[in-house]
Amino acid sequence: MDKLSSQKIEKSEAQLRSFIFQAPVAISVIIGPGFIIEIVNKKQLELWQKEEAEILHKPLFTVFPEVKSQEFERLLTEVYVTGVPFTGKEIAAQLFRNGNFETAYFDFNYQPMLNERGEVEGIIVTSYEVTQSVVAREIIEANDKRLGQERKSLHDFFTQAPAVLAILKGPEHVFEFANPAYLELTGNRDIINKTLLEALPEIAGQGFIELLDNVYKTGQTFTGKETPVVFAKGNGKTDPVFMNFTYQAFANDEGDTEGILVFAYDVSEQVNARKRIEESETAMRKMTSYLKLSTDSANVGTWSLNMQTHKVEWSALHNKMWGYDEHRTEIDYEDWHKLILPVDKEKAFEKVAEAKVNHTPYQADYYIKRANDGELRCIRSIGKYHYNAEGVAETLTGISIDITDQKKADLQLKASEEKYSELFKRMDQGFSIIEIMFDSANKPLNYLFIEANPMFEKHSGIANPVGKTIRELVPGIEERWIQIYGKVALTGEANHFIDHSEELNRWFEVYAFRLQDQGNNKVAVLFSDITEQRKIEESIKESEEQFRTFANSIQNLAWIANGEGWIYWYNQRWYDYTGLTFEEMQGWGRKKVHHPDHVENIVALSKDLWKKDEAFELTFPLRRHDGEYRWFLTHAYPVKDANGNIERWIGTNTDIQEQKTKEEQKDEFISIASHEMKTPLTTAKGYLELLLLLLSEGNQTAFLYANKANQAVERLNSLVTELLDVSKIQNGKLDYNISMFNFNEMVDEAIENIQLTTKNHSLQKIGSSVSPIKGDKHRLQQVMINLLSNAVKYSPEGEKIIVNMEEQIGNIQVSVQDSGVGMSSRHLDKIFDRYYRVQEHAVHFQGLGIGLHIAKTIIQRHEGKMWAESETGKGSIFYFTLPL
Amino acid sequence: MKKKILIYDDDKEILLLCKAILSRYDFVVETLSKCDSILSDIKTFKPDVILMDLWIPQIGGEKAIEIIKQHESTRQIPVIIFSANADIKDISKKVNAIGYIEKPFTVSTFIETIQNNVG
Repeated sequence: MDKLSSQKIEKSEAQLRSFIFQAPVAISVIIGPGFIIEIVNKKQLELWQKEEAEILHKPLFTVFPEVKSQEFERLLTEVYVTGVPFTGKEIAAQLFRNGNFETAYFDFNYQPMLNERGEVEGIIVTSYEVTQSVVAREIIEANDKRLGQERKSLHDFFTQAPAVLAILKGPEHVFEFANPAYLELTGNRDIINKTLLEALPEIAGQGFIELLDNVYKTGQTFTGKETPVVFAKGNGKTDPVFMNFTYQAFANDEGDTEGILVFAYDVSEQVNARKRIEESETAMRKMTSYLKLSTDSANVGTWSLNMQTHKVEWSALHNKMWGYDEHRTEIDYEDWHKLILPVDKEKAFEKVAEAKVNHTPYQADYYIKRANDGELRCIRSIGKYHYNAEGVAETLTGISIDITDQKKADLQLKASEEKYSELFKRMDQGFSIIEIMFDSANKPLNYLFIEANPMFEKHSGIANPVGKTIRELVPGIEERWIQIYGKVALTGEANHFIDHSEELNRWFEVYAFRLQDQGNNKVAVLFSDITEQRKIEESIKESEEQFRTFANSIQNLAWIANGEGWIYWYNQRWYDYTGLTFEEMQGWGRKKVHHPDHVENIVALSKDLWKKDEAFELTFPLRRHDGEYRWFLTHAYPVKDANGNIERWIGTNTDIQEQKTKEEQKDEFISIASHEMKTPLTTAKGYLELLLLLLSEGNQTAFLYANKANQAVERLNSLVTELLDVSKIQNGKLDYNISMFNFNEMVDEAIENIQLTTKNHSLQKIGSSVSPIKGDKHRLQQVMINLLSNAVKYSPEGEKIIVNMEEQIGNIQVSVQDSGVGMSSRHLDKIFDRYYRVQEHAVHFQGLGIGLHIAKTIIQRHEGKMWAESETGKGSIFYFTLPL
Repeated sequence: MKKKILIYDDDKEILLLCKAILSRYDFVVETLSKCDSILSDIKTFKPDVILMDLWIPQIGGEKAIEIIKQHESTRQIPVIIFSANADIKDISKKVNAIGYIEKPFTVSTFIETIQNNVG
């Protein structure tokens, strides 16, 4: 060897040594059967937490007695003896580090080092600690398992309801019954009363007939899980559906099997979903194993870049890592850098540049888009510049490690933790998982809280239950709670119930179901505190009860209708009176109690009244159980909700038959009496007039007396006429003679007439009307005369009486104002009532109290309005309007 | 020749009053308190005007007027209705009466109505 080449070798050895020492992978070389540590790099020293001087040239297992008992000595010996390299993945080692024994995981490689004779001289050990990613993955796996259980529980919960049901009878399995879900599943065919083979011929050969035959024969229940079945639905689809099903024989009284109850649910979706997951998991596993195969022991690729020539040297693994052919030798700078994502490249270059200036190693993580499959891989690149004597950087060497999996594991761990806690936090209901504790006879004794969500405390009032038993938390807990959950755990039957705990002073709505894959003692409890609801319900019930008692004890008939007038409740009096049952009265059934002459009118009237949101009154006859119709006064009051919408109507019907009869009798009496009175009145008046004719020429005094008598008779006549009108109004017999007439003229006439009767008052008219009015001229004049004569009557001191007339939009308004005695406002509503008289005035003013009643009735019949304003001592104003 | 007036009313006092008034105005008056045999009454008396109360036994004034108007021989005789009923105006139209006198009446209205319709 010449000097130059030996120098070259020396130089390259030095370079290699430097590289080994700096490499981020732990590297050591052990020599001979005693495993003497000959070379050890910095990383290895860090890993072992030793100083080079402590261990160099010493036997490995003297330095690390604790490792001797583990697998490593055997493995090293094997490599030494056989010369076959050994690669370990994620091997656990107990290391005495940081003052403790720790479990660390390593990917490592024992590479035999051969001498010229081909004998094993020593072993190169490279190792890379993967503890972090192993631990991370273990946490994910544990979490995945937990999530899986959670999903299972929820799934159980949501699919509790039995879905597909059929009853097959006899040995031929004839469909006796199939629920809609079953029919839908099988394509809505006409299957009832057909044998299974007739109804669903495609079933033959799928194995179900045989199962059914066996169940029929043995009476033993068969349960199938996720069993594929193909139904010919007629839509051309032949995809199997997956069913969980039970075939359960049922027997007649003699114990002979009669048929089979089919109880199934379609679990295709779950099965398919799981299959997809399994498929993708398999693919993933394949990929992983492929990747593992294709990477070497420590997953480390090495590289070197000549700064002058830009020539690149890559290890075979590095080629693979980048997605190039393992054996490719022509790799250039461009091949390397074009795969690095630009954003990452920029950051990495910054670090490299910094390292160059500072003469320090750099470490940068970046993503590459692998050349062969385009997959994104995360690469950790570690390297260092080597400088010549002049301090010029000559080469940049380093390693690349694919850390994609580790990164992914970190992300997954984070994501799955978030998902899990989100699920629990978001639940509005309380949720807990409990473990039931049984005695030796399987009697539930107590239960332990394993999990509880944040809402648990709000709903139960129990804080921090996890890890404690219910008897610890609530010593006085009612026994039945433990029994209920115990039963769920023992039978596997989910239970949905509402119950009360005296001890917690709360009502709960609970859904409890067993978590099947966690042994037979874990129960998930989903619950809500419904105490408030219960209280409200109970107070409503109570007040309803009170109302009913009250409503049933009153003399009136009473009822409640919804907003549309649909009556849904009547009191007992109603049923007693009508002799009808609730069923007969339902809804519009009350028509049955109306008189045929009235029913149409009542329905039409009340239809309008329900629409308005005001209380109203109606009078009509109702049929008694014995067929007699009696008159009732109906009051209906609307009950409104917070938004002012009518929630319901409360009504009463008061028997007014007796009043009605009395009134009718009275009206009839008045009618006859007043008519009868007219005859003697006529006679008296006639004779008085004849007398006046005789006297007018001679005896002045006698004439005066006769005239007075005549006036009295005139007054008597007008009173009798009023009485007659009232009785006619009552019987609805007041006749109207409708025509178009000059309203203004009629008013003027009335004013003139009244002016003639008084010298103390001055009647003035303000305004006038040009529009003709449609109505009964005579009746309307009667109204004017009534108002004017009242004004005169109630202003005895004499004063102005003002008639104000104005045309408004669509209306004409007339008012008559006096400055007389007036009245207090409390009378204003009543003065239009029949026979109403203002008491204070009764002594001083004559009258029957019916003039205004007649006037208002007439105005109302003309679709007008009448009202009054008044003040004691200041006079009154009476208004009426008439439509134009 | 004096005009003849036939008055139907069930009240004897009213009939007497009417006679007292009408005789002062040179009318010949016959009064009856039942209208059941109205056609023979007319045949006997041959009135120029008939004054008919509405509330009169047995058949009532309206029915009696209907009978008069149904017969050719009596149809043209003017009939005035005579009542305390407030709807007298409408009834008079309905039964085809030539006029009406509302009870109680003033002597002047009474005489005027009869004089205007006596033909």
